[in-house]
Amino acid sequence: MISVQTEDFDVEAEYAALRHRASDAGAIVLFTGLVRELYDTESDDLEGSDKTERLFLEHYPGMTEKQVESISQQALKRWPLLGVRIIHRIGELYPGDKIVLVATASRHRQAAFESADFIMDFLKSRAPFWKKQTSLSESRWIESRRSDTDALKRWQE
Amino acid sequence: MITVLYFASIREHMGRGEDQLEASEDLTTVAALIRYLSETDSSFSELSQSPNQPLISVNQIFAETSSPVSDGDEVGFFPPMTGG
Repeated sequence: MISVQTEDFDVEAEYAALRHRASDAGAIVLFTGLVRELYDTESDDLEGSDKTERLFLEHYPGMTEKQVESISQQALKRWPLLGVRIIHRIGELYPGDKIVLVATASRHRQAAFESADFIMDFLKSRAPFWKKQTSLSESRWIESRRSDTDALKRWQE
Repeated sequence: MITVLYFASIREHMGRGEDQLEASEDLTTVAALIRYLSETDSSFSELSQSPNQPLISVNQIFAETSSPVSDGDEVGFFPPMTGG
């Protein structure tokens, strides 16, 4: 089940819903991504970054849903999962806000951990979302990180 | 008609989010579309010459310059994605 939405989400409610849906699960992994105040640069040089005032998340309506659904289907094929829940927010967000939720349920923990990690790696660089950071001094599009695209390679074996 | 969509930094560079192009026998691949837009639009020409080539989609699926394009298709140009 996937959602792309501007509204915030309730982590407790999502956990309870997945637990109900995946009735015989022995493991549920629930990951949330948050807006940070400091967005570091490629070199992790904090001097080059400014405090985030807000973040704007643009996406490609239609393609986003297709890509996120495809990522979810790939995870379901690869691991014996009892349930997957993905929520990705769009629009204006502020430091401390939740951006993304990935929850996976399986009989054993390894499949739940690995599939949640896999889904996050693919959401980072294969789903059409773009972040624009506004700080006191400027507004700029966050550049993709080599480490994020490199992260996909470890799933290709 | 072929709908061309621009996103994020590329949308801002183009100064618009969308173009509508008349489908023709000359526009049968993404490469031909890129050639046509580069010749008729200076902003697009700058884009196609930059070292950071945009990513491409056709009908909301990742595509390449060799991908076919026809009447009614939707072609997207966008920078590397930064979700999650």
